Amino acid sequence: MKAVLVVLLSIMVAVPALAGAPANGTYTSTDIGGTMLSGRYSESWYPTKLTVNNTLNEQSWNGALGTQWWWYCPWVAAPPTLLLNTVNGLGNGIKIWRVTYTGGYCWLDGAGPWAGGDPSYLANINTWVGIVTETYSAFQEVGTVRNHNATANFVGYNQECMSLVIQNTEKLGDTVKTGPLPAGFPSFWNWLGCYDQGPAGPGEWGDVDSITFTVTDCQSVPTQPTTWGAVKSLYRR
Amino acid sequence: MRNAILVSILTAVLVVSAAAAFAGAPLSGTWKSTNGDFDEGTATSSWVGGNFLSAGNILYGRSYNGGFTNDWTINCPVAVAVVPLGAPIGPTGNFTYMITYTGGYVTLGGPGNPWNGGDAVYTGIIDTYVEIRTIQTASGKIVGAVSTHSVSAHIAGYPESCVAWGIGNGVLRGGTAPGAPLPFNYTVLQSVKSAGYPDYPNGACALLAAGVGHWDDIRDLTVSVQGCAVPTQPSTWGNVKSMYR
Repeated sequence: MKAVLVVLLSIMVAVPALAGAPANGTYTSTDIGGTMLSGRYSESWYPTKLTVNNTLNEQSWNGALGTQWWWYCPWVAAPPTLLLNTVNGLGNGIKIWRVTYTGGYCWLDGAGPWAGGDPSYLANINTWVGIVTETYSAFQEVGTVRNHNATANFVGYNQECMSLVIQNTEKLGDTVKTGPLPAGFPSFWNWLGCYDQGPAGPGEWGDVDSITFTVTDCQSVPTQPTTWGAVKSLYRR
Repeated sequence: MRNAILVSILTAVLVVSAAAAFAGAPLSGTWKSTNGDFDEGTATSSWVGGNFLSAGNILYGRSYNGGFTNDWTINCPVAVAVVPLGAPIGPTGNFTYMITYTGGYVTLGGPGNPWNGGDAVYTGIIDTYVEIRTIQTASGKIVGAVSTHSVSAHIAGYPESCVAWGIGNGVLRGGTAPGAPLPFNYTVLQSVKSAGYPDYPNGACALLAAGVGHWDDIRDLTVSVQGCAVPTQPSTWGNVKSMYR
């Protein structure tokens, strides 16, 4: 009876961890020749753009949100750093900011191009940085593009098993100038407790594309062929 | 009578001169490529400075929509500073650089474009050009890069207040071998530049089929123009004549 219990426990512990780490490799979005979906984003504002605690929510888009990947809940950790400001006395020009986020998670569908055997994968975001470039006309922001880069460690696999991502985004609207969040864009998230607060803003939204996503150093612990006798011998000492 | 004829001739000359200088000024406004206002494009950088992250590199970009179009060009700003914003590039990770360019000019095509005011083309002398480039590496190779580009320029032939400025995203699509400071991963990036990317610009801003460098897609563009239209000054025939008394 004891032996049966040991075998059952071994199977229960081993299967989730060993079924299959995400496949190491670099994957790109369809707009740059790959098979990974592009996506859409929202960022909730607390209370305005470029302020501490603003929270990102990004999801893949193929007519439906989040079927392949989802980065959610990194929030702005510190006041953004202004790298460049060419806005003149007439209010015309460009500002570039560096924004550092903290926290958040990455979810990947197990059937994505990184498929390794698990139904899905979860990773904790370690770093997330945005380069936010705004253009102004008569002191009004009239366009914003971003580059994002992030790293995350997969849950349940070896410590080195991680992902890296770079991507571009373009802002398409915000609740102050454009109106409510349109359908088909990820809902706004609240950093405090990390929950979905629905379509109520304030916040902004846009497209995510030009994605390069790397999975590296992930290992599925190799299975060890053994005999029933060997298993029993472990408990005879 | 002679004076009247002289005044008439001078008036005509002034009107013609004014029309030549101002009639075709670009319109004020803001336009976006993602709205279909104008074309997105591609760019090629020559590694005149030595490699992917060198001062001295020269950039040339042009609108593209299945073939090169005349909506806009970026003509040969030269990188003068390449500064890491954090750790310098390493074998695995994400690394960001601020690249400052100097010199060069942009063009905005006239007819067919939303800023068209009558000129065939508008030439903007570049005042500032900055690219923030984030590079992803894995196992000692470059697997991708994304950039934001920002440019401001003053339009030649128009008042000093006539300016254009714009922003856009870039994404690395390929580069020549041997890549440096790290090689490119050619299972992800292109090793051969296709016809959809400009040829390699040299120091005289001539485009050469052969060269070393990298190429990008340029997307998500926003262009603004302001300060070019000169307001008309209502006047009377008496006022004009009084100028020549």
